[in-house]
Amino acid sequence: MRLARSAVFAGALALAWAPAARAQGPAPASGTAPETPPETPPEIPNDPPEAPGSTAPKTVEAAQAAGYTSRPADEPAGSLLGGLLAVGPGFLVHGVGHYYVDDVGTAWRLLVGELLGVALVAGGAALQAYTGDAGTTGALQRLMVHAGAFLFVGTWMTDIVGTFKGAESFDPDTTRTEGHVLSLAYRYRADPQDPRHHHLVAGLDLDFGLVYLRPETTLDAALVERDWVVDTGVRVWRGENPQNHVALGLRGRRLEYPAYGYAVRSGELYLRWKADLGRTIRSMRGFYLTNRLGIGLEQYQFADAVDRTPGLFDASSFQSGFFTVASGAEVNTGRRTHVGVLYVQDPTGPVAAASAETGALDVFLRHRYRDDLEIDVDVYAGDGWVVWLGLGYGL
Amino acid sequence: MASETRRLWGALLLVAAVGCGRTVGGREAAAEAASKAVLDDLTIRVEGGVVVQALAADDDGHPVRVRLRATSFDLQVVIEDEGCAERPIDVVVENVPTDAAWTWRGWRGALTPAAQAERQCCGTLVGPRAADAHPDWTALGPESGFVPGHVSLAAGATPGAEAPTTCRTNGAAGVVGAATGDTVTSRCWRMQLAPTADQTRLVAPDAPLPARAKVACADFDSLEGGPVRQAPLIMVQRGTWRPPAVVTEAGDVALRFAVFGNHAGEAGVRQAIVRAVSARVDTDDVRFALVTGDLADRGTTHALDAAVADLNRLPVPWFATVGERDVDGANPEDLVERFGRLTDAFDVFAEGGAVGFRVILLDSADGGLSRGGFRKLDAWLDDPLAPATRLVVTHKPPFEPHGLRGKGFKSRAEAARLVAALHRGAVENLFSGHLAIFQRQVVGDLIEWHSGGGGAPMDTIENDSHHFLVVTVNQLGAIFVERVDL
Repeated sequence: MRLARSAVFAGALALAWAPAARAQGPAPASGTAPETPPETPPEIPNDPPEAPGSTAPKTVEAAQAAGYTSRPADEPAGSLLGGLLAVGPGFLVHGVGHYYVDDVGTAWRLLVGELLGVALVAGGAALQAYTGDAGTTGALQRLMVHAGAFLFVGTWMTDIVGTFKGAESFDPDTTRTEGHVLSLAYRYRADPQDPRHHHLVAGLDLDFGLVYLRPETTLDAALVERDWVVDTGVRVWRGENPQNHVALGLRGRRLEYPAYGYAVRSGELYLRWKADLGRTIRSMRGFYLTNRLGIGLEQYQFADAVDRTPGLFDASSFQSGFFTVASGAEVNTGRRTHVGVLYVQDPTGPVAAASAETGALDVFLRHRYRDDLEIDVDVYAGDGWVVWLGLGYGL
Repeated sequence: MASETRRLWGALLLVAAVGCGRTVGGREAAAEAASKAVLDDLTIRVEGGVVVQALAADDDGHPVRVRLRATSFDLQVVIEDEGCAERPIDVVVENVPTDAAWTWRGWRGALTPAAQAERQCCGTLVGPRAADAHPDWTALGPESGFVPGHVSLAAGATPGAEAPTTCRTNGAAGVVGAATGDTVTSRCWRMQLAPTADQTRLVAPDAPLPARAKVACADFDSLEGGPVRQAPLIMVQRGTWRPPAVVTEAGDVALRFAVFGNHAGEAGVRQAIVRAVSARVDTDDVRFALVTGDLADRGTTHALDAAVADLNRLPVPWFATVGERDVDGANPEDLVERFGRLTDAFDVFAEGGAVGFRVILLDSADGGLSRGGFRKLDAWLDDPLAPATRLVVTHKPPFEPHGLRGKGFKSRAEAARLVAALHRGAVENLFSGHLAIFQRQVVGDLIEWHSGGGGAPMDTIENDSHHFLVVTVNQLGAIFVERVDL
């Protein structure tokens, strides 16, 4: 079963990041006429046919005079072989692909990133072993392992993608950085522990650029599971490119589950940042790294019978802290389509993690159909999976 | 867009490949399958235990051999014979105390025409006859006691006069033999089934059989027998254990048991705990042991057998659930054969009934329960016949003292659901073994006793040492927990 899953994993990676072999530069004009086959096709002219009314330059010199610039020498083209090197041997030595395409600086940065990642994972494991998996250092240990794994996977994927793609940047990020959106979504949840599959999600995103406020409610079809969230925050730093930012936020939540006789109210303080990887790795312009780190407290209320829950302001029976971390990458795969992948470790997530040692995977797509209309698709997979299909209407 | 679509589907496939991380469903299925074994025309069913092995008779002269493991204090073995030939069956039951009480009774798996008519016309008014005690079967005699050993169970005859012997099986051969000096808690007996085709007189339930009656069967008149003539012969054996209570220093009448776990394959500490608990059996009347999982380092057959071999040195029965290490690489059937159902419940009553409580074992090795686990738990807690005092034993606790570390259930929603169910079910004590500490944590009305001192490296910051617990439950349902360091 694990082997089958690994095979699917590898196949999915190959499918998702299929190599786009790039040309080595403008093809030189052919000075040799092709061989005439026995059927004697018409002779192919050296110059391409000119479209009616076209004013396109006819030679490279003419194009350069008109303003065309060829690829700079320090921006290598993509390489199929380099990408394959990044996949294979590059798994052990990150940066091999970029080294092959003569982007030595990037190659070294990726290698350092890999070594740092390995060191963090090893350090986390050593901390766990040394302290006997102590509770007081548990959060630090988890954070180290998460960060290390993110660095390791991130530098490897960067080497692969950057080498295959070449230095050309990705499309500009179309994530909304300001403005208000009203959203409605259908959520389907396949949870081995819960027979309730169908939910409606309604949300409002009030984004003023510097601050944002996002209330959201999720209700199951039978109204026996009710989830209200208010997420607000401040972008304490924003770059010239507003996509690059650091935000400090607070997320409040009220979950009521009368079918199981309990309710939870919680507050979570989080730090989230998003940064263009292209600022350090030329070939990854328009490719964003993102991370969210949160610490929260949940208060639990238990009813004496099912089909009821204590009131919002009733005393709680018990409270417990929790820690969340999510790291990933986002990129525009087209002019209006934005895709992201997140590795999430969140015990309060919509389904449980795949295992105690790992987390869940969150893959999302947002397509801006019109300037005021967005289509959202989100898949969250752990021990079970959840799919959101939604529409966002710009206000 | 085509390339975008391709990339999206690839990403979605990646997400799907993460897959389900819960394997407890396989263990549940294995546990259900272990409650029954079928050997051609012979069916063996067990309640309060699991079938470990069932071997058909072979050409070397070995009889049918059935090996069971008791997972409670009330074991019932039902052997249903649809054949006609007379044959011996050896039954070995592991994990039972030597002073358990055993009874047997023979049945035919159908009602006589007279009994059917009586039920149809008058059953709702008269009710079942006391001697019947089964709505669908015809009793062949009263329930009789027997002492396990090499005895033949004969209807109407005095159970075998041989002295009780401890039994031992010889691996695959399943040979039953006497073993002197063993401290293995197991019992065995041989029964002789003879579903005769002779047709004579129906034997009244309270009347002795004629001298020529075959062993463990009855002869029926062709006119009176009806469907009983063709019905299978059924032998029901029950083992019941009511341990003697102790009187504590405070004057309470109580029962005592040991709780330990989290060995993680550390055989030295595991064996030391076994020795220490065995000593407490003599000095403090510890009657049984509950093991909270992670007996082995991995779920290989070798590691599991080593753990079982150590625990079988206890002079008292032990009941276990599993941890994430035990299920790592293990076949579900291997786990069930060695440890029982893993998610299970049984009642413990002291001799005389002064003390009683229900023990609920929950399989949380995957960081949560299965949907079947919650259904069973609700049924056990809602059972009107259940004792008022309930204890839960599991490996991973729903909530742990250091929430930021996150070593409880991997889903907080599921953890809350479990605690809510325990709250409604008036469960006040839960024992877990996942954390390598000793700590008492209050979770609402529930006290979680974290005791993972069975051998895994201990939390160096808490500076705890390897240990086990001795738990005392008194006649009022109050629970006292004593930590015993090695």
